[in-house]
Amino acid sequence: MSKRYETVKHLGEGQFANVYLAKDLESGEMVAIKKIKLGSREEAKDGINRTAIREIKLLKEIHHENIITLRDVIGHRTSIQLVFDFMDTDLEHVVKDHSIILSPAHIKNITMQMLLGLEFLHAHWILHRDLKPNNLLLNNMGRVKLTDFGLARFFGSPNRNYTHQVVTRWYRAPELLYGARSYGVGIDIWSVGCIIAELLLRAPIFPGESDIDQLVKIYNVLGCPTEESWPTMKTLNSYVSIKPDSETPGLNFIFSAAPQDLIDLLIGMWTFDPVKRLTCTQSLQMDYFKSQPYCCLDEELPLPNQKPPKRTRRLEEDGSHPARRLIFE
Amino acid sequence: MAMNFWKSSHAQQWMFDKTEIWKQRAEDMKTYSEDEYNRLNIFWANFITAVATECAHSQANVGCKLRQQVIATAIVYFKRFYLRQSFRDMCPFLVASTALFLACKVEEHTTLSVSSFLKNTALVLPKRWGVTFETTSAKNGVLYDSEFILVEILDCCLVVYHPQRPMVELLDDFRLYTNSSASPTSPLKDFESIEAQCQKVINDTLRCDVGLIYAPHIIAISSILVAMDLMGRGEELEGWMVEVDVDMEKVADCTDQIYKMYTLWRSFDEKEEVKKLMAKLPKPNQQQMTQQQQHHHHHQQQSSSGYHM
Amino acid sequence: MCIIWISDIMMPRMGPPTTARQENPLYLSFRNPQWPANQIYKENALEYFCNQANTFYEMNSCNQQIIMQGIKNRTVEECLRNMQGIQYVLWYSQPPLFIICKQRRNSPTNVSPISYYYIISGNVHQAPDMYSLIQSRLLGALEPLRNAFGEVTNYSRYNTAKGYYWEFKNKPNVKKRDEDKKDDEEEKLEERSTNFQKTRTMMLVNQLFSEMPADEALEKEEVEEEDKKPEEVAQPAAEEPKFAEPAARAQTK
Repeated sequence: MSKRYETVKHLGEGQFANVYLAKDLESGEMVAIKKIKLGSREEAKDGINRTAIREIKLLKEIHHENIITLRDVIGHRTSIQLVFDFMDTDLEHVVKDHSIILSPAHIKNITMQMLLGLEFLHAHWILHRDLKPNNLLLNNMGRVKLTDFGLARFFGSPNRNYTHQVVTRWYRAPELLYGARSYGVGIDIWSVGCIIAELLLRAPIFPGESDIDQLVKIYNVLGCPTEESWPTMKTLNSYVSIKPDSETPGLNFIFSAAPQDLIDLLIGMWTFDPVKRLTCTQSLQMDYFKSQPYCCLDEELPLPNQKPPKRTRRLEEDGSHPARRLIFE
Repeated sequence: MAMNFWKSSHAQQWMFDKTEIWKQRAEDMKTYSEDEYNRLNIFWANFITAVATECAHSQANVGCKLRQQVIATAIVYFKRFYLRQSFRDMCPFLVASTALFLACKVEEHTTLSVSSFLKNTALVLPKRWGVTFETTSAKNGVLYDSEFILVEILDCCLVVYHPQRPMVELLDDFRLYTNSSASPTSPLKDFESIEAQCQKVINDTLRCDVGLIYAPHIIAISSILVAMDLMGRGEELEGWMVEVDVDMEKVADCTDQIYKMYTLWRSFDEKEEVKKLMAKLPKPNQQQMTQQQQHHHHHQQQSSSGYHM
Repeated sequence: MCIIWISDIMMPRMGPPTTARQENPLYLSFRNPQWPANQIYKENALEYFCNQANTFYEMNSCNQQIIMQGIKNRTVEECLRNMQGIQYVLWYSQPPLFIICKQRRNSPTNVSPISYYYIISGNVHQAPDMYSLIQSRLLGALEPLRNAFGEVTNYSRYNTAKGYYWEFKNKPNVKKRDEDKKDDEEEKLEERSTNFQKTRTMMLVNQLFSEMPADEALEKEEVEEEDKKPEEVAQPAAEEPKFAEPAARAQTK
């Protein structure tokens, strides 16, 4: 490690990198250092890891409060290290911590922050391609930030084919499962829908064990798409006809405590035909964000291993927090 | 990324005016005159293109033809590098190969290794320019240092905006304008050849410094102007140019530079002159280049790589 | 990891559909036929109540959120204490009676009760408010009374010999005996007067005497008497509205 940063402890390990907590000796702030793994000798010959390049390239260009900030790049030889703002936890920990209960106001806030960050990315022609709860970081001020742009890429060039082996399977959109070589913002929106469902149920909604099983689990909940609802389905590379195991119980039954406007949002995000699926901007315009209970403030989001925050403000009639309204330009 | 050029690192950190550029090159200006350096600019661009498109004889390099955009990005990396460093700090042939290597990765292209590019270099240099070049059997470690050094000097600004995209939009706009305007002249003829000529001019702009000074759309308009002028059809643009909302002063400056570059290029006998220019190239220092952080406002040079030519 | 589905089976609601909620909830009740009433205990009474088919139970309540999120490592009460919004808690239990309180929690220490529901032998009803309760009790007490009075008035009869008496519809097998009794009574009426007549007449006469004292002797001629009689008679008639009938009879004598 360089002289500017002093490692404090190891935070975690991912597929491509190890993350450490460190102190920036120049500013005194805590940072997270992502040390990209060397991989095999074959990969090492390829110099700086491609996923690292991707992250550096994109994060250098985009700045948004809901997207992680790349502060610095250090390292030597083939071990490149990216320095980020330190974020205390991620959504995966929040979901798994059963001492936290997520209220409707909390869920609305997290959803909104996710969509704002993603809207910014999509407006800049970047697909994230790997949205999942542990790529949504949370700091102690309740700010949610998208991270892990290792798989992200620019899109929009015509005639460019992409790989369909992206996005962790449970959060993968059906067109990817059917091997689509060209796709768009819809794949990220599908993932957002799956993440919202996971906030509601505190467990992944489509935990498929294989690509086919993934589709089965999706159809068990949403029903089968038809020619009418998804006309281009059969043209996809790996299309196979699948019948669901059982009758679909309906989203109202599964998300029993969720209000109808949230169910409507999920339906829009889980539209089979990617062309008809909601975009980020459309999602943010939905009634869900304009109705009570309104989003809580960022600071009120519950974090793992913390006492619930004291509520000092007066509350509205239904117990929600007074006006956190979305202002659309 | 067409939407937000002005907020990009390219716009924020890598746009300068002419005098600034020559100031930053102060170290190398001790070796070369401005005129010589401009010739070198032409040479470097041609050279990098040759390395990229020439296939080395080994089996692994089948299908190594790189897209124009990748080459353009590599050339920009090269130019940016030598704004901050001097030829003495790191061998330009190594930098060129590394720039191609990095550009391939950034533009999501399959890539050859740096050493393969160096092999191409060894092939191309003598053939076209009569310059001898020895690759050492450099250990991979040095080469990968070079990639990291390049990223560091570039301050991790890897995304480069090229004028192609704005050019395509502008040409479309021009075509619509001409076809719909009430002028007595017949509708736009031969659009494909206009496109091709503009594309060529845009490529040629890499041989001068306009990419470091003007925004991509300015370069695009200037290229269209120059291209049409070279085709003798400059007048057809007049009506449309009035409608286009752009800083005409900058466009004039830019076209001026492009013409100067062409003038220079016409008189530049590469086969003869490059050898002499290469002979003046400062030898890199023997010490290993360290990876100390270099802030972009430092112009002081550190010790260079151990690469031996 | 798996999703926890709601295990209760959907059942038809009892009472009107939710859209017609204007109907008084005090008249609605809920029952889950799949759950035998004798298996409702203090521990699961709340669970019995928190059923999607129960019109009293709001699906966006804190209780349902806990269920949907599958929180199992803590008790429901503990979770509810830290949440805000509509909640249901078990208020009192004495099997087969359980009381559930619907409250709004504003903070860990502050709640506002909204209404109460009681479960008796598996039937869930909403506990009425004081006004409805008292009104209902009063009505329950007074209405029959009023009806009784109305009904009974039809059976009162008057007869100069007997005075007021009741005559109810007789059952066929009892009729003959009554008829016999009547015959007996008829026979007995050979006497001069009944007790009723004696008593009443004495009262009337006493009253007349008190109104027309003895020292005011009538020395009138017949003509004048005729004049006075209507006056004298008119007075008592005016003063004795109770005895309107007899007075009228006296007048027509």
